[in-house]
This record gives sequence, C-alpha cells and structure tokens, in this order.
Amino acid sequence: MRRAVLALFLTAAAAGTAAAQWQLPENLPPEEYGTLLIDRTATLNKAAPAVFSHHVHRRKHTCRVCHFEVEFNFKVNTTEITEAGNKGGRFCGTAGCHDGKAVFGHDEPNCGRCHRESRKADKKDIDALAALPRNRFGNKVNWVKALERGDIKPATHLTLPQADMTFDKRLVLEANWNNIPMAVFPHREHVAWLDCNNCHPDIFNIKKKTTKHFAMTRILQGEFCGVCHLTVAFPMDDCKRCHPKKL
Amino acid sequence: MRSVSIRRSLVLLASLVLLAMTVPAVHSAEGGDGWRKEFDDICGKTMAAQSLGTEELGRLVDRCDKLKPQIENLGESERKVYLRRLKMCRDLYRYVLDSKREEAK
Repeated sequence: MRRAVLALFLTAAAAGTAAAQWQLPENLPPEEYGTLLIDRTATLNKAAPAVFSHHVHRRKHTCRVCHFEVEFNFKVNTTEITEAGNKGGRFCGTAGCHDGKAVFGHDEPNCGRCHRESRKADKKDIDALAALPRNRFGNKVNWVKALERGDIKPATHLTLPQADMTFDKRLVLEANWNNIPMAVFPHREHVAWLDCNNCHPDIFNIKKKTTKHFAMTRILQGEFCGVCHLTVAFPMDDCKRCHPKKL
Repeated sequence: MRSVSIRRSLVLLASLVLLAMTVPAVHSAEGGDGWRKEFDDICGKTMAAQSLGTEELGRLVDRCDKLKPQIENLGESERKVYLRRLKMCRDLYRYVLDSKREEAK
C-alpha cells in the first residue's frame, strides 16, 4: 500500500514538474487559432495589420503551395511582404491567389477585407469549420481526417505539380520523461500537406545531429515540431496525438 | 544609278534592323522559357527525393548549381522567388544524397 502511494506521489510530482516546465501557449477561440496578424510594416504605414486565417486558406491550398511555391516563411512577419509586391504578382497577389481574377485583388474596395484589427472570422467561415471532423484542440478540426475523407480538397500546387509521395516511414522516438509514452511521427500525414523541403534540412537535419536537442522545451520555443504545432497545426495540448498510449 | 544605290542601302539597312530585332527576341525566347522548364523539371522531383538514387540526386544538385546563375540574371521579383525555391530544392537533394551515402557506409 505504502509503495503504491509513493509511486502515485512520484508520478504526480513528475507530471507536475513537466507541466511547470512545459508552458503551453494560451488557448485561442477555435475560429482564431492559426489566424495571424501580419504587421511587418502595416502600422508603420498607418494601415491596419493584415489578418491571415490559416483555417480559411488550408481548405483551398495545402501548406506547400504558400510555403514553397509562394515565398512565405513559416515564421510570421519574417517575409518581406510589400503592397507593391502583392500588386506586382508576388506574395498574396501571386497568380491564382489574390490576383483579382481567382480571388479578390489588391484594389481599393478590398483593402479592409484583409487589413483589419480583429482576428475574428466571418460567420460563414466558422460554419464551414463546424462541418468538418472534430478534434479537441486548436481549430477543433481534425484536418488530417478531413483531408483523408475528402471533406476538403485543397490544391497541392499552383504551377509545379509533384509526383504523389510514397514515403510513409513512421518514426518512433523515445520520450525523455518517465511515464510519457514514446512519440510517433508519421511521414504520410505530413507529406499530404507539405513538401519534403519544407522540413528537410532546415527544421529537421538528422545529419547535423540536431535531433539530439529534440526536447519538449525546445519544441515549445518554436523549434522542430513547434514550428507548426504551436500556432497552426494541432497544438501541443493534444499530447496523445504524438504520444499515443498504444503505438 | 544613284537611286538604285540608295535603294540597295535602304534595303540593307532595313534587313539589318530586322535582324537586330529578331536576334534578341529569339535569344530571350530560348533563355526565357529555358530556365523555367529546367527549374520545373528539377524542383518537380522534391517529393520523390527519398526514392531517387545517389547518382540522380547528384545530377539534380549539379543542375541546381548550373541553373543558379541564370536565375541570378532575372528581374528582381523572379530572382528573389526562384532563388529561394531553388535553394530549398538543392538543400533537400544534397541532404538526402548525404544521408544515403552515410547509410551506405
């Protein structure tokens, strides 16, 4: 009995320490999760920041379109977006995007559709989220399932078609903490959205042994999985998605 | 006699002007489409990188290096966009190539 109580106490203490060390970002309302306020120069130029909603865009395009074919970095406000660039067919104004033909362009009546102070989504976009398979965290949408079931059919390219990815190696990684199940990384679910070069070699470079620093503390600082899974892809609160009890 | 000579000179001049206008057009058509086709062909294989052999990966890295100077000569917008993308492709091919060579040791 004493042993059981001690084991329970130690487990609770370990969990408490882990929770204290892993400071998760605050939870946003589901319709605001993944919505960015882009403000590199907007306020300096006396304009409202541009609001970019990932959940609206990812229904129409996979991540690789914007983060490989179009020149958007993963980290907000690090891409040198300019109004002139947008109007000249770069960034948001790339042909097939906000070029005034495929979707509304960068002319006067449309400015306020992106340049606004609030992250709040339109009702039709909130309703569109509600129709997708549910998840407990983030947008409360299971995007992987939505894609697999064909609820959404995002375009995988604008101009550069790619062969279907056949690499579906599933990695299993030992957790550093006692009582924490191993982490799994399925390539297949990721390459449905991303290009290989989105992650390799810059974010994950096994050759340079960066994975020896592959710890939750670093991930929560925005490295490795944290590049996407803190702000856009399902958040870290969803422990069991990566650390399932059964492999 | 003199008018024939003037006419010949004019015809010659016109021919030279036409030639001068045609040569850059042909050159730009070759250069213009050429780099883009090569870019699409190289970077259209990134999702298959893991299944490519080391020789093919090495060839792709070399092709990236050969294409880079052509892209550096493009206008500002295209240069910025495509140099970044070319670098992403090259880095991936180099990474997979090195990983495969390491595995083979």
